[in-house]
Amino acid sequence: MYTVKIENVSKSYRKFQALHHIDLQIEKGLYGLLGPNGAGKSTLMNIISTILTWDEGRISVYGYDLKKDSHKVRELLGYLPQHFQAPGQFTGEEFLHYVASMKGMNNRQKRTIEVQRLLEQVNLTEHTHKKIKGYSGGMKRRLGIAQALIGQPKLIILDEPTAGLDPSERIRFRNVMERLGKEYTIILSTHILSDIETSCEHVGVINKGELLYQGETEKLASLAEGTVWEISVPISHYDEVEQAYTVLSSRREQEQMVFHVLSKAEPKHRATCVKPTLEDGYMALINGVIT
Amino acid sequence: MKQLKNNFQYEWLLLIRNKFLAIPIVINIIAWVYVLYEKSLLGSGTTVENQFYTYFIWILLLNLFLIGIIAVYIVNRDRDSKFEQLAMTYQVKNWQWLTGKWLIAQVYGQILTVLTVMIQIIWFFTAPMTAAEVLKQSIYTFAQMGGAFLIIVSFGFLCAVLIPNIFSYLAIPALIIVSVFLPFDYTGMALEFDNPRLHLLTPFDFMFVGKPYEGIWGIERVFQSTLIHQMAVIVIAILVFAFILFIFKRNRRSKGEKQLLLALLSITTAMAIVISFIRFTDYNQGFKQYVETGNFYIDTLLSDYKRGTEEEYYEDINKYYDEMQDDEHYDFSIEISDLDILLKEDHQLEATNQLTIKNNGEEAADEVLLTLNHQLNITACHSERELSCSADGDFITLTLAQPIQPNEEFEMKLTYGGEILQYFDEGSGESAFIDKRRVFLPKSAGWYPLIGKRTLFQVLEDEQLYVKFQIRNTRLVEDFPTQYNVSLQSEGVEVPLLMSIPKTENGKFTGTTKHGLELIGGNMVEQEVAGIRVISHPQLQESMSSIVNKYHQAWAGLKEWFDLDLMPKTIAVLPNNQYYNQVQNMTEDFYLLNEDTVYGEGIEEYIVNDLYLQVLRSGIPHPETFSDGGSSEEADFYDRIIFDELFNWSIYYQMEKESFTKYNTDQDWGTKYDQKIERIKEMEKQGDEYLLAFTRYLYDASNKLGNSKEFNIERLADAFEKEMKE
Ligand SMILES: Nc1ncnc2c1ncn2[C@@H]1O[C@H](COP(=O)(O)OP(=O)(O)OP(=O)(O)O)[C@@H](O)[C@H]1O
Ligand SMILES: [Mg+2]
Repeated sequence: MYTVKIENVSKSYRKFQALHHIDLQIEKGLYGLLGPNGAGKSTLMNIISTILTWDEGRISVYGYDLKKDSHKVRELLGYLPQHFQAPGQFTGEEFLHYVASMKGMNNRQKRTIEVQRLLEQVNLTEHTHKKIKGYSGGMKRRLGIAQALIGQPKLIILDEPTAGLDPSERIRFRNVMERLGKEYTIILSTHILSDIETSCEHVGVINKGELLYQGETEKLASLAEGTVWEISVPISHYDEVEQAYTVLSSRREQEQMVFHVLSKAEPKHRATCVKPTLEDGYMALINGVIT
Repeated sequence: MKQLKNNFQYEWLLLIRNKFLAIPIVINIIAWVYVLYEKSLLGSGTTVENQFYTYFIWILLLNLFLIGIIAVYIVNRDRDSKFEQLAMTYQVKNWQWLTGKWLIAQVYGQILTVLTVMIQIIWFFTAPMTAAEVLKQSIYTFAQMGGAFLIIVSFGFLCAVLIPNIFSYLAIPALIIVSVFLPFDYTGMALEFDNPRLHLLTPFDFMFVGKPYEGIWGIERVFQSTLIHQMAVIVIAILVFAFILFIFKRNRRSKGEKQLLLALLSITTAMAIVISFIRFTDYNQGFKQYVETGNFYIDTLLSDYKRGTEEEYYEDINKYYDEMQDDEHYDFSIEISDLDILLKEDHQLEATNQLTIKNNGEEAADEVLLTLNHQLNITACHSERELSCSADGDFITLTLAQPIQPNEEFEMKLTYGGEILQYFDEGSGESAFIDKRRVFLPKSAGWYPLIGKRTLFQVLEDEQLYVKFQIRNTRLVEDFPTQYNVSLQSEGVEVPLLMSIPKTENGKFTGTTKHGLELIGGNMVEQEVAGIRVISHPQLQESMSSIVNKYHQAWAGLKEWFDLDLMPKTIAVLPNNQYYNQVQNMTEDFYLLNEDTVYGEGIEEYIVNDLYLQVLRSGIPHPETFSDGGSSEEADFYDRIIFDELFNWSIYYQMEKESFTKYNTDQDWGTKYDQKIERIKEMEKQGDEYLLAFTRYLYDASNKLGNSKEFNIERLADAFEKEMKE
């Protein structure tokens, strides 16, 4: 059962068309949205979050029409914008209280319990009474995640939630998401593929406003089957390889450079075909090596 | 509602934690401390109300600007940080989100209002004022400031919502300037491009010239209309806010919200129209009457005005300003005037006037003219002699069956009544009124019969003004004195009433004068200083006693040294701007002082100027009145200047006993002047009295010689010294 259905959605900012006829179906669970900078991820997320309007197409969320029943959608929604800024004069706790009240939780006691729960969830209990302007970047980000999760929203949209988080916080975040993903629909965008690789069952890839792929995460990797090659050349040939192929990675082994490159056809250099990772699949897609 | 309360609470937290928002409060406190310091500099020569309202307008304008900026800031802050965008994904309703902020901005503004009102209350309690008076004044301040802040916050929000960038801040000063630019330096003479009615479009009631406070009449005139004005302001503030809610994030607005807003918009629009209309008509009828008055009298000055040469034009202008020309000789006099007058609230009066009229001329006449303002209607006109009365405009013509012979007298009785309300300064002030707590009937209002055909108002055509004319009251000094016996009654008037002639018993006034009657009622007291009756605001009693003593010295000096008897029997201290125009009443019977100018430093110089003017007005020839010629037939310019200075010094000397040299320092007229003044300083060595005597000698010479070449100070000094030696 799809919880979010996006049919033929286009969006332009004045003359610039940011989304071209996007069709996307999302189920309960974690959904990863991938794409290079400027691809249109935030635009799409802002649309689903009721912030932006769009030009054509239909979107429904848990059966509600996003255009007509946006207030119903807001009741289900938790959203973390890419550039989250909270009024710095609040403490973390006060801010979450404020958000909770604006999300319709008018009972102060219940709100307190909810706020406490979320502060724990994002590991900010220690900083409950600290003014937000004194928070570090990662702490602010976590507070942003907390505000999105207030009120147990059924649809959680997180725009680059892990940007600025240290590794242990990222793991913590991933665990929380995996738990929530069992019940709710979570859409998250990121540039860190490992965030998605382990936890998201499904991904969508957007580039230049067009949807290039949607489906299971594993399949995205296998799409690149047969296009990822390992080349080993002397260090002196470095530039030559760089120019000839899309390089996915490189490492040095004594006097040799070992490259992973993308190529539809077998490279001229001595190469072995290797099993692609998620990242390889993504790169192959973005670079038009596969369609 | 609970949601709104939460929003409000959290916005409040943000507000009190923002250090920058303390700045306006600090600025206010500094401003008031400065004002109080300034006040102590000035001494307590004036009423606390006068001081308070002088500064109040400035502080109000300053705060209006600050609060407007803060209102814009409160909206912009969350929009710029994108927190607003995020909040828009919550369930919070548009109105809850904005109203929380709006209320916070309002609370902030009202904190400043309360601060101001508190300062006012504490300050006013230092003066002898009743609690009821203080309450009324603080209600006025609260309505003016509170309403102004209310509406500027709404407009601040409107700007911030309509202009989603930094320029929204600029909209605030722009709005304030647009709204108060026209009335700001309003002098009661709106120029062609202006329209005094536009002065109603201000966030606080600006329908006064200078300040709302009018001395012994307090704020009574403006009080009620200000409350109406501010009611309209409050309703419009809500209307504007409802409009903001209506246009804010329309796609997010629910149907219910929309319907409620539409209802609110229609209710507030209807209310705004009704209340604004009431306020508008309230002002407009005064303005219209002012224009009518101007048009009624416009022929008086220009009847013989032919649109001709520039010279003729200036002649007319001079005629307009030269109030001496108002005096027209008339052979008849009112010997006795028994006036029974009943004043009623709402500017009504009823009067019965028993007149004894005498022919002082050398010929018999069968027509006698009287002047009575055409606003009043004559209901009866009797005499034992056979006569008929006919009124045309301000003039009453008595046609007698038998002519009156020279020196013959006859009696007659007039009954009249009506509304006497008169406006000046384009309806932003009243020059004749009878109200519960304030009464003013100056002679120039023409509220009782005057002998002869007297022009009550002089009007000058002025193309540069919106109303196309200037208007002033006239001098109205009779040729012969009249004995007045006035019996005064009032209904609904709650303040004491006084007249320019002395009171003999309750409600009875008697006196003989050429200067006619003036009637005043207000918050005032009477005292006697150096034999002069002084009427003033109770708070001015003390300072007036020292000021009048100084005046007394100066007048006594004029009498002693120049035989000029200009000392009045009564002095009344009235607010500035209380006259139709520039003719101030400074007669020997009734001398009006301007409340604004009688305090502070330099009172002696003020008195010198005042008395000098009085000397000129009493019709005594003086160098000042000579034409600016420069031909060889006329006296030397420097001679005239020096005589002027000597004369002024002689008035000053009566008060301060300061030598002429000291008085005359800092005069820079060039070498020719310096040479001439040396001679004076030489004479001064003989003592101040010697120089005073010389001044008197010059004064007599000036009266004799006028502006002729003969008036030569050096020659006159020679003659004087020679005379003295003999
Ligand atoms: N308000 C706007 N006005 C005009 N163009 C915009 C606006 N917002 C975004 N764009 C353009 O739309 C395109 C998509 O932007 P968007 O922010 O959705 O990309 P993104 O995929 O989120 O990129 P990133 O990974 O850098 O966050 C970009 O080319 C951007 O320049
Ligand atoms: Mg983005």
